Amino acid sequence: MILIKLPDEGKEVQWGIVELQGDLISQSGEDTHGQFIGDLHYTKQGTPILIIGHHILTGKEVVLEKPFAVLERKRGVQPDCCKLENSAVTEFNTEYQIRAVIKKKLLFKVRPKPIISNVLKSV
Amino acid sequence: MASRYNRTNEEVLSVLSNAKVLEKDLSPVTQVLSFSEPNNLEENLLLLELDNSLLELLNNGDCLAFRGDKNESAVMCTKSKTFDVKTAEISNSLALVPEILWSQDTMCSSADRILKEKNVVKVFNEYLEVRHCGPRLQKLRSLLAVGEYSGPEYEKDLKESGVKLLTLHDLLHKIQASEEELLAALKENFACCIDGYWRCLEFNYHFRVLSSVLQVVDENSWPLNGLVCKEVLESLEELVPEVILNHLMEWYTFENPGENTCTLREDRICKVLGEVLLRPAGKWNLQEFLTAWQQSVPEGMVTNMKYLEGVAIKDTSCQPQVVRYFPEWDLPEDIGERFKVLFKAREKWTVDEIRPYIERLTTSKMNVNALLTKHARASTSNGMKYYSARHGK
Repeated sequence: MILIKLPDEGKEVQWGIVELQGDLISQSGEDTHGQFIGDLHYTKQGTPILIIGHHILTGKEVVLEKPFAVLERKRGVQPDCCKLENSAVTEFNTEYQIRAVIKKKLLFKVRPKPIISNVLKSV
Repeated sequence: MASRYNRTNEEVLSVLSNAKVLEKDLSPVTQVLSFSEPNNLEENLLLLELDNSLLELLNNGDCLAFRGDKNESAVMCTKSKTFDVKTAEISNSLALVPEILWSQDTMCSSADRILKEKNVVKVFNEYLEVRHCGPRLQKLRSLLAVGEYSGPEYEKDLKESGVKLLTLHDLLHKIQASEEELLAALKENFACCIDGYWRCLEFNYHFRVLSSVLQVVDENSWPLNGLVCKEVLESLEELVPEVILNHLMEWYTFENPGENTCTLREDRICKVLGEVLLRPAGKWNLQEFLTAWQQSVPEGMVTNMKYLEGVAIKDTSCQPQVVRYFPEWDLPEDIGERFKVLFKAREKWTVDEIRPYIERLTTSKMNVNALLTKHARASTSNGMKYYSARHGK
């Protein structure tokens, strides 16, 4: 049995999801850790705009019909209460902690538009 | 590793002008998104789709639990319900951003552009999805079968044999069911909590204790609806442990409100006495069985085949007609497998006949009729509707 708990502080942190079509990969194919992705703006009307490389995406803020819980697996947590003489059970004692509950996402479902300003400049 | 890229206001503004977006149309905060540095959070994160009722439970401080052995498909349980857990794959990418700012969080007034660094901690192409299903209890009987309680005189032997008895906590670890569903199933299986361990009563012992109770009723010439509970307990306290006696009385009697007496339950007593006859024999001539059964029950009770629903079935296709011991709890828990066994035992069933054998597999979305529509074929003969195997002989 694996328990899923809200964090002890009980405080719900606002995390969010940015949903994109396709995958986010590095052009050079290298490890993406630490790499810059893009700028996320909002218009004064609240429309999100994401600029990634030479692409501009317009999306919208969507309330999720079904919220997501972000679970974090914690291995090797010592059992707190039970009298488990059986050590095999203790070994696999895994707990999932809910890091955040996600209720909204930024959905970018239209095709990204290319930014062609460089071409214009050279004309 | 190269130091982290630091984006400047100028860069952001130059990209905006290239993209022909007017800065004055934007709210003053720009979130600069980057992938986070390698960390062990990433591999340990997953997304679980909730619904609002699950969210409410969590907010009230309840726990959810994944249950099951490594070789079982996972279920998730709340205190009262069990959910099937499946991985849903998606072609879109879900980039998870902690402490993201939504549009309304960025609507401040500032002359200068404010940059906020935000990390994408993980990009998901799948998430876990849960669907309400019934508890999976097929292991319960076999787990409880090892430590059956046969009376105080056998306890020492049992202890010496090294059999591991199970607490509720142990059972919750092994059974894919919520706590409430498990407790209901324990009750249904006539399990009883003795010194903290959940035990089934050995069938013959169970019958012996019930017989003693019925004997006390007989000796006192009480009517079936006028047992004096206290006297039953007192006359048997030397023979039967109190916890077992209470358990039996609770199962086989109704309390009469406002009085110190209780009423014997005809349905449950007839059912168990019918089982006593059928269990060793397996099969009986129907007429002979009905006579023997009626004679075995306390005077004033009337046996009725409906009491044996889920325990035995009538076979009217042969001459003479027979009744067959066919307990529901021995059937597979998997719906498909269960229907196979059912249609092997009997080719055609009416809804009322098959209901006790499939009712336990119903969910809030799939009732008996829906299960039959999905797994069986309907036909009508002599104005009666029957269900048979989908792929008949």
